Amino acid sequence: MGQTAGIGYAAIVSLALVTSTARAVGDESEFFETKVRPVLATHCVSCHGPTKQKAGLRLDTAEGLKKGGESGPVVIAGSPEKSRLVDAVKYHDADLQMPPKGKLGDGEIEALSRWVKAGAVWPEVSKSPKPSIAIEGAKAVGHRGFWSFQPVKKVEPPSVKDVGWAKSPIDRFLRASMETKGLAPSPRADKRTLIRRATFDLTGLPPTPDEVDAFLKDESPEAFAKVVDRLLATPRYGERWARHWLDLARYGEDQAHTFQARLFPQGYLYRDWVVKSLNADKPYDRFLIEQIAGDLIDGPESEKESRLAALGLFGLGASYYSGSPTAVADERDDKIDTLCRATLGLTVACARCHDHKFDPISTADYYSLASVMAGTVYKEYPRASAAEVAKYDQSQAAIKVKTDEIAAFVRSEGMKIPERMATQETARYVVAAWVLSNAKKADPKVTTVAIAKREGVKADWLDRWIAYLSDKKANEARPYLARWRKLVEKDDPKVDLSTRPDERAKVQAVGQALQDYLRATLALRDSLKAYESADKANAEGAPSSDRPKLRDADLKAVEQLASVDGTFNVSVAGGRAEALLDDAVKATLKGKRAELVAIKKASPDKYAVIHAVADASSPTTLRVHLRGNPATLGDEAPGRFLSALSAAGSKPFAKGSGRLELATAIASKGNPLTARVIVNRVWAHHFGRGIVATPSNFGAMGDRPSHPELLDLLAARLVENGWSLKSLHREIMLTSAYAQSSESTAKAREVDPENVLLSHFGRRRLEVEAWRDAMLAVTGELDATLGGPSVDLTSSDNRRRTLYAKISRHKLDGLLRQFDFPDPNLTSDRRNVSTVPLQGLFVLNSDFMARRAEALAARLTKDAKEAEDSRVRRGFVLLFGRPAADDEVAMGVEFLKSSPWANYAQVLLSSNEFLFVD
Amino acid sequence: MTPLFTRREMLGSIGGGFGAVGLAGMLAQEALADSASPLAPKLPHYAPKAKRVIFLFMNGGPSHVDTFDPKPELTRHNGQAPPASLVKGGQAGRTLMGSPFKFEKRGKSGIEVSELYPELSTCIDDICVIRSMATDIPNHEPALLMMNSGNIQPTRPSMGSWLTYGLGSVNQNLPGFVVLCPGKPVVGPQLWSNSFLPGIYQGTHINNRSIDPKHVIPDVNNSRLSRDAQRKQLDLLNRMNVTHREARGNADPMLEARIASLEMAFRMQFEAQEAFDLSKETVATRGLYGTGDFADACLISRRLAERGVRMTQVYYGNDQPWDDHGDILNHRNHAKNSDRAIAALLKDLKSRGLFEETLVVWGGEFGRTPTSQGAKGRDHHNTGFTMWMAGGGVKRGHVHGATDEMGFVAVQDKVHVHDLHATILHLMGIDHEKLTYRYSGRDFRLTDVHGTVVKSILA
Repeated sequence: MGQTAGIGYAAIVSLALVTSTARAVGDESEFFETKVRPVLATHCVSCHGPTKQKAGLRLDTAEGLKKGGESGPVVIAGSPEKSRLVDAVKYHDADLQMPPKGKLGDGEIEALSRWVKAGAVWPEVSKSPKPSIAIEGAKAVGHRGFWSFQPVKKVEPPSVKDVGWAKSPIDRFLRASMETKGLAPSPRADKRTLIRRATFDLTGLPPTPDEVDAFLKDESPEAFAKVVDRLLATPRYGERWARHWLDLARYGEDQAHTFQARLFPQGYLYRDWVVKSLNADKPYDRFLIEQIAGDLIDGPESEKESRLAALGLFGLGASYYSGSPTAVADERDDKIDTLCRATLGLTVACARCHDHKFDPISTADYYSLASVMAGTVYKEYPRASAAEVAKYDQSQAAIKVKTDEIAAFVRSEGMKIPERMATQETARYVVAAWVLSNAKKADPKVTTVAIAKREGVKADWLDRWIAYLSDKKANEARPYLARWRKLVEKDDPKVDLSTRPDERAKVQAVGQALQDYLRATLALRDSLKAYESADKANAEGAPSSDRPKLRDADLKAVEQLASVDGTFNVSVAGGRAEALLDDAVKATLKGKRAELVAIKKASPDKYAVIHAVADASSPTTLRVHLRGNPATLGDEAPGRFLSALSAAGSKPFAKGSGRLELATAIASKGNPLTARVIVNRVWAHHFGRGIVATPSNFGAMGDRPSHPELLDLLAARLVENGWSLKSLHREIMLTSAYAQSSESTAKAREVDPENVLLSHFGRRRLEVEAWRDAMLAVTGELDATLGGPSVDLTSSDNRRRTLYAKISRHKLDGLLRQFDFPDPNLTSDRRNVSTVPLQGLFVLNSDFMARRAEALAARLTKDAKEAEDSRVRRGFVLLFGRPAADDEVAMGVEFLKSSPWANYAQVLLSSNEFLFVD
Repeated sequence: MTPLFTRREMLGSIGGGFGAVGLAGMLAQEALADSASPLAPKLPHYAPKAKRVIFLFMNGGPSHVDTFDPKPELTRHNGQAPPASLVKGGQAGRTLMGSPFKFEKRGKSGIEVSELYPELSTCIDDICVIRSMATDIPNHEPALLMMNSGNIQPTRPSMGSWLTYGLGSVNQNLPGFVVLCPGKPVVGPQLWSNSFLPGIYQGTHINNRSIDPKHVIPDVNNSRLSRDAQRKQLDLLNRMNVTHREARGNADPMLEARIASLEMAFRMQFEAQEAFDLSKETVATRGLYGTGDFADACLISRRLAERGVRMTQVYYGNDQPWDDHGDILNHRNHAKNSDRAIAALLKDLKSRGLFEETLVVWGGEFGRTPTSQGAKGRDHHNTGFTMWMAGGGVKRGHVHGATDEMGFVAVQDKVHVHDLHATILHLMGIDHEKLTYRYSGRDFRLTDVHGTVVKSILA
């Protein structure tokens, strides 16, 4: 498993360059940052960098600097006078003057020189040069010529010298390639290491001390085979390997967005289906067919639910925020991309906008698959009787009726608020507005908010009143503001009258008059309305034309001062309107709400469903979206399988959406990719690296197989064994290669630094799930319940296996994210392995670690009479599967003299030995 | 038995200080570099103008015609039907609404700013206003995702993640990308998601509704053990891990890296808490920023800038406060809550010599319609809106681009969000076409296949 696989950073700080003391490292790093890096980046890298490497020199990475140019090293750490780089920038030598365009500034030269003198510390990691991509892609050579599209060929394993080691065909392939490089395999791992490795590999848990003992005692040649068989038979196997598949299936139980997101509360049914299928060793071809077309295949009625649950691969897919025109196309893309990368190792989704640049996949191919997805719709299959479903639907309808009624009531009552305010509060706002405008004369900084608070009014309404009352021009057309106009006309713009009670009383009177006017006008409006309808009724719909009306000015006053858009504006839908309702209305509203609560309480919870898919009522044939744009359409692309993997002249799919035909085409022996891709994945999980190092990309941009014939052997064996994954595990694990020690020789590290040839076993860090589960296991707390609804990982009493954690696309659990769990919005074929201090904080300080430490301490100190050293020894056996050395025991006992047991237990749980598997 | 102690003693004698800190420093530098620490600082593509970004995100979408894009014609035609050529479907039937806020020329540059920003407008000569922004979709979720990740679906890394991926972080004791929000903006964590980039590049979201330095970062504080007890525990752990490493030939950088990272975590506990501790600021400084969640967040962003955090994003408020459909006068409250703090941040950065190397970005996911919604509000608007930048490498007192006379469409020097991203990356020393990550068989970029650096705003 590539350390930070795919990131492409090489470890580049050469300790040989760092000759300074540790204290200086920090300073030098800062110096480099501020003084050296900018000079290199600005003046050197354009010719000695990623695009050009004049004289073979790169100055954008420490690696490049260390390597030097065609004439050797350019920097001798500590000796600027011997360093060609310094020479060059100083223009000492007429033949070597850099940069050629002009000499650097003195400060810059001095900085470079000082930097070299201090050891040429290069404190950062930089991108390694990308592997040069010589694109002799599948497309270029024709798909029959590209390795992954060729039929699987079974080749006789080569003969090797080391026949004692290379007994199985797998080992013969591996041994032969080691021999070509002059490498020898590592010795066989000791039995303790081997059982720990195998147990974590197959179950994600550590072996118990009893299991280790039994294996040690079994001296038969089949001892390890028995262990493998035992492990494959436990349900823990399915739990472990299901997670590998769920990474690919971008398993999640919700959506990333929030607004009207589709949630999957029973998404776990799919997860449990994967676990059960793996435990049952369901043939891999069937495993795929059920996930793609479980609703369309025959089988026992008793397993129907199971077949539907398998459709979670699509049913639990992304449903994006629907506000964009491309969302539907994006959702189809999610399904195509996930399916094709997971099963075929092909990046078909690259052909969405243009023919695939490197692989034989056209836009027509893409839209043919998109047609299949377009003919497929999300469907929730009830896991309840028809009666239960009906009961639920009825109660939901009743809830909607009541909810609508409440909303309508709030709305209609809310509409009345401005009128009520106008008839009750106008005077108060007129006064407040007057106070504010006066107070500002004395203190321009006085705020609306302050005055509103003092006067007991609301600031935003006051803002509106001020805007209304101060519009001098408009006021001229407002007869009912005549008194107000007169009042403020006399105001001295400099004198604050707001503190004078007599002046205030005058304004109060004006405001009251306006309020009375509004009250009378509204009353008149209402009685005119009543009169109008009475008149209409009386005259049988032929009203008199000279009916009395309000004046235009009155109507305007009502609109501006007493409507929802007026000075007392109120958003009737919001909570604010509610707070302003009068008490009687509030009481009625409360009653209605109580009724709603009662209805809700009486109604059943939503019945359980299976989140899956079904064929749409009629199949769909999409047209190619030119440049991926749904608005510009090309030729029709009827549903069919990828042309490069179909026989010439094959016909489009004919049944419904075509999903079943697609499933059959993918899960076919004749399809060379499906078997190769899955055996490579299984291999990669066992050895930490695939035979093809890019497990979801077998195209031209992916890596080439390190052992192509071995890959084909495994693929052929899988099909011969009825697509049995358990048989595949056995064949892989019972090799000499798998049983090697993880110790590497210096030669191996030099000749084959990435251990492509597997001359030793690759040490690995446990994934977060296995690490957490292992802690719960050794403390004796693990809840071994299989399956069922997901549990929040943050819940402190969650002792289930990590597989059962809720997986959110919206907000992935912090522990999972911190420890390299992949983003469930996207299919993922490999875990990153990052090592950062934030993870250390979890180890040092988290509640989870503290609780495990206490539980482990309690487990090891249960017997009050037991001696401390004996407890320590038991701890080592329990956690590491090996006896403690005497000095390790002594270290522990010494520590425990002055520290509580929980502190020691936490150290054991935090150790590298517990986290890494040899 | 362990060279660790030898080194530690050596360090103790050199540094004269707390040995463990020196040890951590040394181990950190060597081992993390050895193991290709994903957060170690990296060389940019060319000399950067800015070393870090502070993105003040006015979530909900502030109205451009009420803040930085004055439209007298809009006021003149207040209440009239908008020109048909400028209006798209949703706004049909609505009428033009002039800004209720007065604009005034400010500073030497004479850039017009509305009365909403009395304090900030005193800094206008340091600001580069972009009046010609455009984004794809006038809905919050896709527009938020576009502004943060360059894509309308939640399947791409955020800009902060790209920046930390591309440049690393100068301070290994703090996350490289910090997101402050009193609560959570709409969409939420996907806005600071690492997506397919390694998890370390995810933004660390801190709810600054109440800042407690003990809880700003998950597990940053140990409430059970004293520092000494924890040191003792870690010393034992180190000894066990070194024994384990030595038994495996000292050949595995992963083992050394983890030893170092635990040491760094120990130190981080204290440094990280200190970074978020506003009580360390003087009364004068706190007074400069004013009070409130947003003011506190702005001040924290400056503390993080000083400490080398690569990108700090400050969301104005919980949910989407600027989304004033009902009443544009509410903008007054949002401006009031942020005006002083933004001005203070710019001035404070200047007085500390950080302004030139810090890029401050202001804006929301989109603007608001020049037409009214309801009687007093404005709807979402994507075809023309305003953002501004200040500091690291952008022109000062400069206006770039323009919308039409009513403020509907960016008609001059349009800047799409992709262009903005390309420009921000450029200022940080990154060629947006070269910062790629291989995933799904192709190289992904923040700007996808789009984006042009807006050269004319570069200082």
